[in-house]
Amino acid sequence: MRLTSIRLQNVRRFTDPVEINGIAPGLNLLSAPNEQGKSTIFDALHALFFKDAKSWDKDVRALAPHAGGDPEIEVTLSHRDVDYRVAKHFTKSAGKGSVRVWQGGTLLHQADAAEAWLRDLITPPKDDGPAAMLWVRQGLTDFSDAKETLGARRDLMSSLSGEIGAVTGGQQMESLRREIRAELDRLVTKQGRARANGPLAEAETRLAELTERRDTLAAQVRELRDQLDQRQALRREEAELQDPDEQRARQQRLDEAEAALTTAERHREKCEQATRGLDLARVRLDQAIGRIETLTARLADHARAKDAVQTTSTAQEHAVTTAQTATQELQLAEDAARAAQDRVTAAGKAVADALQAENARLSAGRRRELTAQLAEYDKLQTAMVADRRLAAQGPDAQCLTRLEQQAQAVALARHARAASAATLSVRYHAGADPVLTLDGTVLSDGAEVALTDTATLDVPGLAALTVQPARTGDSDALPQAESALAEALHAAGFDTLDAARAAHLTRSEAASRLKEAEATQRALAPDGREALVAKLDALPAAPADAEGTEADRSGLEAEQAEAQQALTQAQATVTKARHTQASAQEAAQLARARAEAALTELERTAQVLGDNGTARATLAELEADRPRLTEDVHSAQAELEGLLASAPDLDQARAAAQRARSVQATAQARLQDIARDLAVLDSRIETHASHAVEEELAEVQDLLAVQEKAHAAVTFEVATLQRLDQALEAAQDGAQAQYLGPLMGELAPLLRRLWPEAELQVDADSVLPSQLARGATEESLTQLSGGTQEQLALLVRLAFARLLAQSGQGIPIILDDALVYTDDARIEALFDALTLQASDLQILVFSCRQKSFRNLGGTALAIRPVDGG
Amino acid sequence: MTRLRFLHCSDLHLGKRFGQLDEDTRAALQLARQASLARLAEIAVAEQAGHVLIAGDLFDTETPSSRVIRQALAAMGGADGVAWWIIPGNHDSGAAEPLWAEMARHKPDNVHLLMTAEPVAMAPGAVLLPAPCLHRFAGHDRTAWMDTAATADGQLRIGLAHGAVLDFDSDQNGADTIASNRAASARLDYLALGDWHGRFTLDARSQYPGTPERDRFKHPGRGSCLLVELSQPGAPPAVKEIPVGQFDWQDLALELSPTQDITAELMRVLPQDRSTWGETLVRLRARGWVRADQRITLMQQVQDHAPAFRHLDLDTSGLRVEHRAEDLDQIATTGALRAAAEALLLDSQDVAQSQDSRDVAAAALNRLYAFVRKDAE
Repeated sequence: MRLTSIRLQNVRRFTDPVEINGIAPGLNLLSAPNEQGKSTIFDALHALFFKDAKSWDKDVRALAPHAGGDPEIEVTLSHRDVDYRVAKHFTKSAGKGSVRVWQGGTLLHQADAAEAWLRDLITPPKDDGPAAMLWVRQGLTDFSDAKETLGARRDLMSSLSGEIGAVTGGQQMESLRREIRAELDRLVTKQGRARANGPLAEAETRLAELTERRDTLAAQVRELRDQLDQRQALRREEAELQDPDEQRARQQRLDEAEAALTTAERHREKCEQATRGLDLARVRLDQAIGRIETLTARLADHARAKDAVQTTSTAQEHAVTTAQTATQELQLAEDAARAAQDRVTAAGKAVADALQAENARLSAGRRRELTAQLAEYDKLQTAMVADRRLAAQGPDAQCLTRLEQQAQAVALARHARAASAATLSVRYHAGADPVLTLDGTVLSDGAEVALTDTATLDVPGLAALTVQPARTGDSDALPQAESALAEALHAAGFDTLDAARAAHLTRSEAASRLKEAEATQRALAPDGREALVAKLDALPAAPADAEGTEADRSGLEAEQAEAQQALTQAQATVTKARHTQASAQEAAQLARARAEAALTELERTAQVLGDNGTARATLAELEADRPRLTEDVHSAQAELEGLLASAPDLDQARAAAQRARSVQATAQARLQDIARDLAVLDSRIETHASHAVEEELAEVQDLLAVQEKAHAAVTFEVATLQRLDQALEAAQDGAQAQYLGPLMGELAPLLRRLWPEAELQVDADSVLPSQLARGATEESLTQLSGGTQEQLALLVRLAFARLLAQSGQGIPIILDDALVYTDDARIEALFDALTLQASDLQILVFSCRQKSFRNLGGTALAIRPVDGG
Repeated sequence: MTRLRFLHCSDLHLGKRFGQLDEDTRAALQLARQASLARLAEIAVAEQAGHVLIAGDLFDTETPSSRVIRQALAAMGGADGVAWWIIPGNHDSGAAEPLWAEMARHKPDNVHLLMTAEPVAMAPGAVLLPAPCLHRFAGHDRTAWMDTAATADGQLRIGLAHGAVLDFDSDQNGADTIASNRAASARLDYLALGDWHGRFTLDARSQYPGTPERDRFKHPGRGSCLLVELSQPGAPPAVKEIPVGQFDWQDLALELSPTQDITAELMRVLPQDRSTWGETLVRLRARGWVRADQRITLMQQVQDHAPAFRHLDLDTSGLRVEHRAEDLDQIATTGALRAAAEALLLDSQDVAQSQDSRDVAAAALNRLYAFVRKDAE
């Protein structure tokens, strides 16, 4: 795209329309003194291409003339060999500005579409290199104030910054980031912590303070509410305690309990008094009884002592007499005993003589007895020979048994025959004699006979009847039995069974006698006949008078026994008498001692008793007083029992009184405590209330809510600023990487055209040119001379232009007062560079240095009033 | 015939401090709150109402400062011919004994503290049945006793209670809720209720006047009291709302869209009578979508107008900014600035990111826009 003409109206000093025509494709020069409107044309072109027609910002406003009027800017241009006319009309009426694009005489676009067409015109296709940012004015991107901007605009050094900045955001970016960082720095440290004394720190501090204050107040309010609750509870309790009814009831309970206690205690005293009275009466009675008993006992003792003296004296006399009698009787007994002894001695001799005689007689008798036994023995020996013979004859028991069995068999057979035989019964007629006989036996009336054998019935005077029994099967049994019996008898040697039985009896008797004789022999001579004979031989020979008179030994022995008995009796009498005598002696001594003791006791009792009469008088008085004393005891006892029976429970009364006093005291103490607690609470509540803690809490809670929002807002502000800074930094880094390299590549040959081996260095942080290295010399751009600065800036711009041209979308470069400080020697080199670049770029140079730029060459331009304008 | 005129008010919350507002406003609101008693007295005298019923929460807390208490008593005592009938509410419940003890100690004769639930002869032919809050939480309907409260025939029965009839707030304790048919069940000619800070008519006989000096945006407008006239027992009450409040609280919604003229819309929503702005507190809740420049305009406009109001708070939490290509062009058509703006725009619309991240990106973009615009201005 290249410009062909420019037309302005109502732009600053150009209130009337002016125009610049004939702008050539290459290098153009508008050379005019200052204040002729060169910068106005520059600003107007910028507004045309970069400001929305509806805008009325400070740049646009700066275009309006002082006298008023809406700026109108119009250009003709050639783009891809097509001519266009663009007119933009700004107005301060909001949104009323207009823009139109014509192709030839035809309106091509207007309004938003025209703006879009313009944007496309100066903005190359996407991703088409640094040219996209090229079309900027020098200095315009500096976000300093308008006055500085104006100054900087003519400063090619700042233009240089602007050109590069167009890629990386430039001065605007720098300014933005500075501002953001300054704001962030005010809020937070580099580590992201709240900056001391900064708004965030203050917000945090305030929040913490308020939170703490809120917590403190909340605690105080809780405490206050607790105190209010406590106070209410205490007041309730106080009211209950102070309730008149309650107080009266309490006092009444106390009075009653005290009265009951007093009554009980008085009763207890009465009881004690009565007890003491009873004790006294009992003592008096006991004393009287004691004296009576003592006196009575003493009198009795004295009387007993007297009696004892009398009794013991009599007993002593009697004992002495008895002892004398006993001595006499002992002498008599001893004499009798001596006589009895003599008699026993004589009797004993007589008996001994008699006994000797009797022994002789006894031996003779024994001889006779033994001789008789021997004779009987021998006699039995003879009889035993005969019986031994008889015992061997006749049937023995076994044989007889056999015979008895056979006889029994005959009897059985006979009985059987009789059982089966006919019977004969006889009945005599009345008055008839029993005359019938059967086998010679008279048959009595009513007789009944079995007819087992042939029998003959005789009827005297009439006939003899033979009866033949009938034959049966067993008819032979009887004869057989009888035959067998007969044979056995015969074999035994007997004719009949009875003979056999007799023979057996004889045999048995002989055997029995033999046995008896043998027994008798054994009795007579147990040790045999020889021993018996020996005994007989052993007997002493009989004295001559042995068979003489037999003395009366038993009489002698009786006499001896009698004498002995008499002796024994006499001796017993002596013993008894001797014992009696000793006892009597002892009794006499004892009686004497007793008599003496009784006298001693009598003396003692008399001494103890004193005057007997007085004692008796005293005893009489005491006895007379005793009933009265007894009555005293009884009445005292009755009184005490009565009191005890009606006594109230003192322990219970005491406990009740103590409890009532305690209740009263506790109530009073509690009231005092309550009063004190209430005072303390009231003081505390008053303190809280005077500080209005609840109201303050509500206020602080509100403040806290506000502060929380404020804190959140500051925090959000920090996050927002950090996010913005981060976004800007990221974009800047991206742009730097993408665009700065190619720019430096384009700049290098241009730099060396002025300064061999020169190199422009870029500050890493600001991404702006910072130093110019020429050989070994490195100089900060700000230290460079004004001429060098503007030269450098011009070259940077030309480098951008080169990049743009390479993109195929050339845009005019406008150099407004570009080379102010450059000396004439250096300017020639720059003109060469411009001419070289202008071969494929449209370059408009505005300068007030008319003489110096005369050698630039190129097309000369002029600002002219529009004809008829 | 018994005829009775009285004012019914509630919830004065004397001593309330309004910590969320700036200090000047706070002081002004507190003064206005304290002055509302004097204003009520004036109205009572002017309307020939011999009684003022305060249905609880005369004070904001259970331990207001003595100054607040004494000034309130002084204001009430200064109203000749007006009897004040007061019950404790939940904020200044009877549990606050020192408060009520101080009130009792210093109160003038025309102030009646009703601390027990028993009939009180209010005027010839009129009996007041108070339901004082003796504790912050009763756990039961404090007005239940009114059903069986005996009064002589031909007497006006007027209930005075503090508490919710409906579940106004979710944190209301349901057990304390006053039966909504209490006026009928207790044969009340009128039930003067308190607790709800806005005006609320349950039925012809059961009404909340709202606080005479509003204290939050939840109940917009100016506070008022009710002038009640009872002609005879059983007759419907004549109730008239009388404005009391000095300050007007307005909760305004500003619905915006990119096609709107922000300034015009703002002016349409704000109160038209500018002479009232100085006594108006506004919460302006901006909602919808605007362009970046519109947002800046809105902020500037609000900033411009805010000093004219007693308080103007702009809430933009419901407002989103729509960044268009032209907006980005105004930042930069090309280069790194443009790239940064586009990156932020993308982030602000990236649903994969958290809402916080998107909000931060959008704010950063707004900020970038504002920077560039500020420079351009």
